Amino acid sequence: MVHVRLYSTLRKYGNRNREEAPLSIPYITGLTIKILLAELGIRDEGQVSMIVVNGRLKGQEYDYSLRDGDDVGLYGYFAGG
Amino acid sequence: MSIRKESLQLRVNLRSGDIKKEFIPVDDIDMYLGGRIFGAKLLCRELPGGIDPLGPENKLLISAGPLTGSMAPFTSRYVIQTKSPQTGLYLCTLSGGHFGPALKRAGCDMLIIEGVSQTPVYLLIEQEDIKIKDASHLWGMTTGDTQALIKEENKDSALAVACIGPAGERLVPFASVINERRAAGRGGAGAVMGSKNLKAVAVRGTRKMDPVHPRAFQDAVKHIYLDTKHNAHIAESFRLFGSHSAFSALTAGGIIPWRNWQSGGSVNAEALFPENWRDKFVKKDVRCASPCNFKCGKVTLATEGPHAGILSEGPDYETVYSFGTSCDITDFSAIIEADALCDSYGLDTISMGLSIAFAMECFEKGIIGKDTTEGLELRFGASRLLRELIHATAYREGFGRLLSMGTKKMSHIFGGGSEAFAMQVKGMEIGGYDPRGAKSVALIYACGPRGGCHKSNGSANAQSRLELQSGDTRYSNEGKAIMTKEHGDRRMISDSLVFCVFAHGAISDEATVEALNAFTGLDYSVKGMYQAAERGSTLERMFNVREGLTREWDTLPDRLLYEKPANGPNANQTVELKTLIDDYYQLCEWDLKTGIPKREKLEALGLGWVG
Repeated sequence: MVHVRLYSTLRKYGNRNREEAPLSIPYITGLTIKILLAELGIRDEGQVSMIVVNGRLKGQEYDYSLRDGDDVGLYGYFAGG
Repeated sequence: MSIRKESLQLRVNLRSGDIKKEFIPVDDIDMYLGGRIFGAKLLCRELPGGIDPLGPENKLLISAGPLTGSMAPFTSRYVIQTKSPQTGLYLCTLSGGHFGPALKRAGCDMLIIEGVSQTPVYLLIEQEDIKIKDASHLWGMTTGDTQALIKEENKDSALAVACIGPAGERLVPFASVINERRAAGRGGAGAVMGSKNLKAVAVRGTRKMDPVHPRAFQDAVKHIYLDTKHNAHIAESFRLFGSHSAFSALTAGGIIPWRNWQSGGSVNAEALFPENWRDKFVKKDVRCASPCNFKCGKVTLATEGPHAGILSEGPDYETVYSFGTSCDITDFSAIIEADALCDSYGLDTISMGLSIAFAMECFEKGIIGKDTTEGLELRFGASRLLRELIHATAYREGFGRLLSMGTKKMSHIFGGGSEAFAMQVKGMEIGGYDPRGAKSVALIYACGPRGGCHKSNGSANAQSRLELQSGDTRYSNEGKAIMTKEHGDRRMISDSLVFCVFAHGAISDEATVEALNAFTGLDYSVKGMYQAAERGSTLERMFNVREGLTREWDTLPDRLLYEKPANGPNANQTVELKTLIDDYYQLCEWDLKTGIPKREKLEALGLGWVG
């Protein structure tokens, strides 16, 4: 399994009632962030501003290869002040 | 007729009651644009060095920009400039809402307030005229009541009122100016008003503002809308989460400081994520004024515990940082109340929260005890104390007398090594972005014209986003000076026209200059705008040089230079400031040793007169 948390404008792609718990996505060989996004229904990868895997910032490395058991944080658009 | 020939400044002397109407010379608009840049020029021209910020010689400038009051979206802002009682240096502070457009529609581009009134007064401005009115009966009132009563007694609910509360009357050096529920928060402009016995400025703006080139202006407005529509960072995230939208991402990067900047994170951080509190606390999304389709203002209602029933427009990101993460308070209702109280008393939320966080650390470390706090058990997380501490600060009572001095002065009084963690630069408490995790932010704080502000010299938010997205290069000093300079110049333009700084991040230079020229009949180029921006930053710097500023003043609290965050992703990081500053000075053409703008630079910008 890969455990995914969605933040900011990506929250709408998760289960709103379980927003603080991670979503569990079955691991498949060759799983990348890009494939994961498709799995989650996020069609435009540009919506993902930042990727965090096991607490490490991965910028916008959509081709990053995931491993079984990884914790993934996906951050939507963000600005602010 | 072009607007430029109609640009007016109104000058009022509160001591003599003299009122003058002066045309702003066309050359000044060609060189200094308006708003922040033009105000910096006036301050350099009109204030002698070394004056007391709370004395009769200080002046208060309140201005609208060339685009304020137009139908260009995101331009409903105004600028206050003065010498700051918090830093003893240059101050500009801005606020959104109806006040700026009303000032412009009353025929005033720049209001210059001089002298000290013998009794409390307020100003009523309409049709290029000023009346000085008695405010004895308003003295002592909160900002909400002051605005309501001035509207009522003038029988005009559409009056725009900027005013001070009890904190400004008592000269708290971080007293704010409040209009509607918005604040020109930083640096103590409210105390300057208080020192002048000026409770409020009320404006009735009725003049219609037509663009000089209507068709071109229509095109420019369309381009502005398209730019902002296509920038999803701003369009989508602001609509949902306002100034908070980066909170979760900044947390992942360890950028949000906790416990007075001791920690780079907290296990309780998620309680303050807007994704988690929006549904529970936000009752309405509001804009500060039309036209704006973002509605970044979040009207929140405290729903539980001792704070239930308290409503605020806000808190904004910085307030959640100052009262929340800095004080290690995750009770969102308590933060809503702290925000509402600061607005009501007229206090800057950043300096207030950071002063409390600093005192909490001093208490926990045994540097101060209950004899100093007047019996309060001042520990991190003590949300139930916020109400009492804010009240005591606004009224300068009990322990509030010390809090009202801010962290720098408190650290001098408390000693015990507390200067190292007084989280301020030049006397102004710093914003909520840790430069140990995004190195360019160090320059915003260290070299900013008004002290430790997170946006007057760049954009801590936008720069942090770029740095986080770039991965580990965020820990490098390379390329950070140029990033800060570019964001700083853009900010200067935004503050001068005057655009909302949030929205302007999405608006291209081309659409910006197109709107400016079409509305005013001016003939600016993009390059010309940036040149004016450099004039602005150079003038601000020279104002501070006159007050004694040298390179040594451009520094950060020791905690950021020598101490690593206790936890979080940046736990092995400190800031190495020397190379950052060397690079930045070189870009600005400031002398590497003294930090003073070079003579050639002054001459090239046509500012030989200031040096």
